[in-house]
Order: sequence, then C-alpha cells, then structure tokens
Amino acid sequence: MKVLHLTSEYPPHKVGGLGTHVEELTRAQVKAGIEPIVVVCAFSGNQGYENVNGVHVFRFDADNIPAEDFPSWALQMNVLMQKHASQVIEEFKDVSLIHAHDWLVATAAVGLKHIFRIPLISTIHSLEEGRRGGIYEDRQALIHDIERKMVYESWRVIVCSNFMKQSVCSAFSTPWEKVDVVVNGVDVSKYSSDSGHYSEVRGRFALAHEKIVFFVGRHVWEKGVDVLVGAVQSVLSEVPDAKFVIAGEGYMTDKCKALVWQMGFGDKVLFTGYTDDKTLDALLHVSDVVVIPSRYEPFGIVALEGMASHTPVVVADTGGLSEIVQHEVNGLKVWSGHSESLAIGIKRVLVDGGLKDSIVNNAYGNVRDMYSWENVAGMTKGVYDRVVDEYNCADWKPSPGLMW
Amino acid sequence: MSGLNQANQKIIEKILKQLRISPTDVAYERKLKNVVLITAEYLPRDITQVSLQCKNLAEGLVQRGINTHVVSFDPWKAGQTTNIGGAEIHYVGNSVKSYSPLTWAITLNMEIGRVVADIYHSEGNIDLIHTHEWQMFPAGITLQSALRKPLISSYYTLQEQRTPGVNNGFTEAVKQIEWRASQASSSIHVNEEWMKSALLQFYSPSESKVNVLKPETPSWAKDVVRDYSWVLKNWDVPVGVSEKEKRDD
Repeated sequence: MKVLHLTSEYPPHKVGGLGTHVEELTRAQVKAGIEPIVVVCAFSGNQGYENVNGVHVFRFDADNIPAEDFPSWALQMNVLMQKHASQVIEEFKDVSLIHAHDWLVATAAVGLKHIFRIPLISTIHSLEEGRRGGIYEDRQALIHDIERKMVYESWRVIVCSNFMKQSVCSAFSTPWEKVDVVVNGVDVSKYSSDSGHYSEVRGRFALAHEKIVFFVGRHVWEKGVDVLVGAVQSVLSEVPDAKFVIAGEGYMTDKCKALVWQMGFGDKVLFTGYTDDKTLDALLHVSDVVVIPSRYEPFGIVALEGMASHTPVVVADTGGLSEIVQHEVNGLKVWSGHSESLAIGIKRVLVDGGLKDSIVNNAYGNVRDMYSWENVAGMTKGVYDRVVDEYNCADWKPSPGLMW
Repeated sequence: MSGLNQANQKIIEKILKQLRISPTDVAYERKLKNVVLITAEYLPRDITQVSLQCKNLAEGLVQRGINTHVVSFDPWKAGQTTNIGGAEIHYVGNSVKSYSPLTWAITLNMEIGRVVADIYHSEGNIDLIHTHEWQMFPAGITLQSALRKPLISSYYTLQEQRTPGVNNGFTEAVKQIEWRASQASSSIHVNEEWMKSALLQFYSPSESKVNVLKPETPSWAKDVVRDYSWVLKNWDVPVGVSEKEKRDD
C-alpha cells in the first residue's frame, strides 16, 4: 500500500513536533509493509528527492514566497505542494491514500483528493482554537475554517487523544464515529542509554547538589510556562536546592524572565533558549523532575520523553496529558493553570524518594508497552485498511480509462 | 512554374504560421470537445468586463460545437448547475472565512478543484482549461499540473498596473501568482497590444504564446478556438520532475 503523506515539516526541517512525528511514523510504516511517500516544503536549497530508509521524501522549494502574513504564505505554499504532489502521484501510479498532517497542508490535500479521487485521511495534531484559547481575529477564523474544511473532506480523521477527539467533534460537529484516536509514539531506545555526556551537561545547568526542575516547550500561553514561574517561590521555600531549567523560547520569554528577576530568583531559574537534541536528551535524563504545566495540550509528547528517560513527570491535568498519566502511578497530575498546585506536585516528587522510584518504574514500562512507534503504525494501518475497504465498496472512483 | 508554386507555397506556409493555422488545425478543432472556463464572475453576477467576456466566449464555443463548462464563483448559487446558452454553468462558493483577496482566491481553489474534477470524471476528459484573471490562476496552475492538460490564461489587468509602485506582501504575492500562471500557460490571452507589452515587460513569458485577441472583433470566438486548437496540437504532456530527481539521486 502506497500512502502519500503531506506535511509542512520533515527532518532536517523541524518547527515543532510534527516533523518528528511524521518521520517516526513513516519509518515504522516501512517496517509494517507500507510504502510511505512524503511531500514536504523545503528551504535553503534542500529541495529534491531522498530515500530515507525506505521512505520516499520529495522536498519542494518553498523559499521566496511573498505573502502578507503567515496564513497567506501557507496557502501559497499549498499551491506549490499540490502541483508537486500531483507529479508524484502520477509517477507512483497507484497511491492508495493521502494522509495530511494539520491545516498547513489542507488546501493541497483537499484538491488532490478530488482530482485523483484518492481517499483523504487527516491527522489533526492540534486546533487553532485550542492553541490560542479561542477564535478572536480574522486570521484565526481562516485557520479554524480550513481545519473544519479539512475534517469535513476527510474520509477519516486521526487524533492523538480522546481529548482531541472531543475537541474536533465539538468544534466542527463532526460525527463521533468518524474520528479515530491513535496515540503518539516514543522510541524508548533513544532514551535508554548514557552516551557519556550526561554529567557534563548537568554541570552546565546546575550545581552538583541542586535538583533540576526541567521544562521544555514553546513559551506561549497554552504551554503554561508562566504557571511554572509562578510556582518557583513556593517550591524554593521547601526545597531550596531546586534549580529551574527552562528550555525553549516564545513570546512569553521576556515577561517570564522579568518576573523571575523581580522575585529575586534570577540565580535559581535558568532560561536556556533553544537547545539541541543532544542537550535536550541529556537534560531529560539528569533532571529530577520534568514538568508539563500546559493549559492546552492535545497530547503531551514531552511527558512520554520524560517517562522514557526514567525521570518523574508532573503534568497539568488537561488534554492528552490526563490520558497519559495516571496520578501517583506513572506520574503526578496537578491542576491546570494553577501555580500552587503545580508547586505541590513538584515538591512531592523532589522530597519523596519512594514515590519518585515507584512512578519512574511504572512510567517506563508503560511507555515501552503502549507508545512504541510500531504500535502507532499498527493502529494507523488499521485506519488505512478500513478506509481502503470502504473505498473499494464505494462508487466514488476516477473515471475508467483515465490514465495517470 | 514549378519554382513559382514552391515559392508561393512557402509564402502561404509562412502566413499560415504567422496566423498559427496549419492544415491539421481543422482536425484538432474537431478533437476539441470539452473546455472548462474558470472565472470569478459570470452573468448574472457582473462586476467587471470579465463576466460578459466569459459569457460571449462560452456561447461562441457552444456555437462551434464545443462542450463548454464554466466554473464560476457565486455565493448565492453555490452548488447549482444551470445551462445558459448551451454552456453548463457550475457555481461554487467559498465556505472558508477569508480576510483578503489572496486568501479568498486560494481557499476557493479547493472548491473549484472539486467541481472541475467532477466534470473531468463525468465527461471522461477535459481538453483544456481556460482561467480568467489572477484570482483563478491558482486553480489553473494546480489543475493543469494534476490533470496534465493545457492551461490558457486570460489577463485583463496586471497587479503592477492596479497598484503601481506598491511592494507589500499582498501585491508581491499576486505578482508571483500572475508570473507562475504566465509560465504554466500554453497560451496567454490579452485584449490589447499594450497589455501584451506590459505582460512581456513584467513577467517575460515567451512572446510567441502571448496572443492579442480582441473581443470586439467579429472573428474573436473563432480566433480563440483556433488558438485552442493550436495549443492542443502542440501540447506535450510534461514529464514529472520527481522521476528525474529519483534518477539523479
């Protein structure tokens, strides 16, 4: 079965977690006997074809697209994507499915679906109204409508959590039966061994006696980085050796930094900016607790990464995080958007060694058994098979005799 | 005498070449069966000259026995198909709340693509696609590439003329769309010589494919069909670049 993936990012070009998701999924699909074909926009002269361990990757040039703003850039990029993907479909001849990832590729996906009459499956990784806490202005309304159109046009919709299923069905009046939950995955082997640099990395961010409270993510409202800053004082009052390491950047970074200095904790809170994968991997391992204080979280991949790194996680009881973490079993849940609740959770893990050991052991086994990419690819294939079966029984087909 | 005949024949061939007529054109005209016109407006929706010109063209094509489909934006008639003067008019709407002409044009492309694809699959073929003005060019570009059919583009004005000297993101984006369409089109239609000059100046398409076809002339529809036939006769299905990239790799 040949499946055409449309995505706005694929390694080495990564903006958020989407690129990694598509990379890992398609890699696992090759092992599952699927032939994935990825069409993705590229920059800085990286366009062209590459076979990545059996995954056909077609990168087209998306540099120098003039635009009034980001949504209009994305829409123009879709025109190029549709054009390029058409050629790819024609050359591979028998593409069974189009799998589109998020609104950024929606108009190309819908166009290709109709022209070639190939079923469209969409993965909705997050929703605009969730990312911003509502729809407030024209650009958001456009994105929201494109998401709606994409969901409407899709044969089936994949989301990463029951929370997202509820969100999609509620936002677009989508039939409950149309949406499948396929969790995200983590390659535990990537997090299982020390390549020798962990202690060096730890030394860069904290003193030997300090206990690292680690956050990684975009510094935006939905990720709750400000909630973590609000918890600093309370944690330090009981655990003076705590050291907050906050990785990532965003529009809230300066505000949070200013707040930290105003509170007088500039030496206890370190803003690292963007960190490379190697450093990030080390920090996940050497930290004493990983915190995910999100207000909106469709899934919460960082929680899985922390769990795979044998580090306890404290998460906001929201979205996909609520489904990943069982309170006091494989992590701790705290109230979303509540700094004091977050502080209580962090302090419990830092001072209660027995609790920490227990949840770390449970969490690792949980991640290994439930969230492997092989498992994710298998669940996704189940969706594919269902759609192909239904398509084979349907009248909606290209005209006989038409050659592509 | 024989030499004179040969000379005459050469002169005739030269004239025919200039007029883009060949003895085989008639045969290609007969092959021309299904044409799709894509326009942002069609009567009774009438905002600019595009509407009337598309109507006259559609009716002219119908009179020459060409099965003519018009895909036109009309929010009040979206989803309907009517027959006006023998041409099938398919109205489309845009359910996406866009906030600029650019975002409107590209999101509308989804619905145009659906309707043209339905025509394609129901008719079994489309011979060529003719788009009118920049708002419809994204649809033309994507459909041309996917269906591998010739694209004709009609330019009524250019962004550089509408907003001279403005270089903001919107105008630059429209200019790029106009440029892309000029590259993707097998033939470009303009109404005036000065438009041809402007088009050549701003977007540098091959001069041979820019045709001044004046709608007020009696032979206009016939000239358009003649150009369609020329395009069809000289159309080479493009080879996909990705196949080449795979080989190069």
